[in-house]
Amino acid sequence: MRYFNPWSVVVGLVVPFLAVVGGVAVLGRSQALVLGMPVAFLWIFVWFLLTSVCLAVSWYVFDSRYYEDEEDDR
Amino acid sequence: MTVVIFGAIIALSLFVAFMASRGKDVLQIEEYLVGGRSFSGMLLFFLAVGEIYSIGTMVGLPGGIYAEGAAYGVWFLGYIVLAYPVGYFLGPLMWRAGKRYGAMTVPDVFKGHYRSRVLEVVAAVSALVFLIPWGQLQFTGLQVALGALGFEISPSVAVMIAAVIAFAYIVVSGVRAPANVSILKDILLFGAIVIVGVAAASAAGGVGNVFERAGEANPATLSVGGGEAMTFALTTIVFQALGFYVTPLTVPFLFTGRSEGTVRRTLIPMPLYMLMFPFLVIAAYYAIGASPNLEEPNAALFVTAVEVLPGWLLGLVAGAAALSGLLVLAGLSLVVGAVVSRNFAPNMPGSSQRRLVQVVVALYLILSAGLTILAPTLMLALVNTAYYGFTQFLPAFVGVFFVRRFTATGIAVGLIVGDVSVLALYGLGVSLGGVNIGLVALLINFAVVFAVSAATKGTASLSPIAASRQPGNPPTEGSTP
Repeated sequence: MRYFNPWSVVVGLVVPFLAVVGGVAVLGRSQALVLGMPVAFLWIFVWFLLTSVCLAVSWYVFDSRYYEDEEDDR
Repeated sequence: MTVVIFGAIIALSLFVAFMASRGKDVLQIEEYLVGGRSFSGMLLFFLAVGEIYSIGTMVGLPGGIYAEGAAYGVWFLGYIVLAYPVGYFLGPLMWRAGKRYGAMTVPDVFKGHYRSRVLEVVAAVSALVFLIPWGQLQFTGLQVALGALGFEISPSVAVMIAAVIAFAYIVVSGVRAPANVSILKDILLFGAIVIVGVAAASAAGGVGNVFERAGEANPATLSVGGGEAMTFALTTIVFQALGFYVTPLTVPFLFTGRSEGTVRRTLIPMPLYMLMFPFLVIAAYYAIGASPNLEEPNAALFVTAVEVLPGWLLGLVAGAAALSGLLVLAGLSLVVGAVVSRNFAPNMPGSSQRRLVQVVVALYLILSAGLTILAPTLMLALVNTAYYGFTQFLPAFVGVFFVRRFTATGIAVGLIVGDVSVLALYGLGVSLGGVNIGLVALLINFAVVFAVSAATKGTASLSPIAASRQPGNPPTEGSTP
């Protein structure tokens, strides 16, 4: 059992970084409004949600097993 | 009415702070500083969020957007959202290191891992240089907020009252006070920002109108732009996202979690709290269109609030702003108190350590309140360089977590060179085509750590934190170390 599961790193770290940094690089030059908002802002707002989704996938699919010996405190 | 609502919120927060330590032995220094490493995921979430979104969220971000538009807002929001994935992978290791070394401050971790008094002191000085102006930032923000919302109170009096309240939070209950007040603050802040954003959008007749009017006033505010602005945005997002969870301000709050898994799980929903930011962005853009030529851009959010909200809701906004400043001030002074009393005056018994923390907290608050009143611009440069400086701790933590051959000397020299590079690049106004100067200093820092570590011998073979984990909490039967 490893602390860094490679797939977890891809889903939870690489994907959000590529999406946000890449999205800003591509969309940041545009002054277009999408759904009434500057498109770079809209892209980042969407990633508030999707970043949590990525982390949830990392946790439930890969990383929660690593902490099976802990007491559940929820 | 505004003042009544505002006063009620502050009174309630003080009540919550005083009740926070009921039944807990706060005479224990570990209990006082890191809550006995016992916080549930829920409490850790509120504390972490509470200490992240300071008065700067309501002052600096709208002010930056008002002045520079998307070129400011996009990197600001981009680095915070990416800080959470970094935290998800580094935060649990931070907690593990804290537990293993009994650490309550960042220099404590290095002292425990590298076993070097010199490195401990270098780290403590480096932390304090950039922590001290942070308090002034909160005080100044409070002045802007209360002034713009029409409170007729002299700025100096406001600062003194704020210092007293922040001290009152901390003195009785230690870190449990900001943790419990955070619950109130986080809900109020989210609510207040959503209310201002919704009211601004409806006053303009729709979200689209808000941005269209801002675009008519100044089309450049709608995009980041190309060239140096884009380079700055991209490098700053990466640099500050990497640095966020190694700062002396965020690390001690991770130590309050009750287990490594709790820290990791708690990071998952944190980006969702950012869903308040679309409303804040709307309020800031509303000000660009509706109130051009503001003398104080940092008041943009509050100018919008005054325009679109009735008086009693302004009391709510003022309360949220005040709690954001006070809470960060309280958490910050606790961190400063802990660093001074644990890393400069080591080997004190726990009970006198707590007394010393309280004295340092009081002195720190008096000092930064005094500087805010007497020399408001003195520390501006240090505030601007604080993030550049905080992130220079990254190589030291990379060594703690992953790398066996970084030596204490290498880390200490790298840290000093990194900090000096930041201050020099900033002070000389060196332009690097928009590349974040903190990132440049960080690369120099890493290079120095590698070079000096190769040239010096470590005291002992250092076992990286990521390599092994103690069994969970509580230990399961039959598990082998």
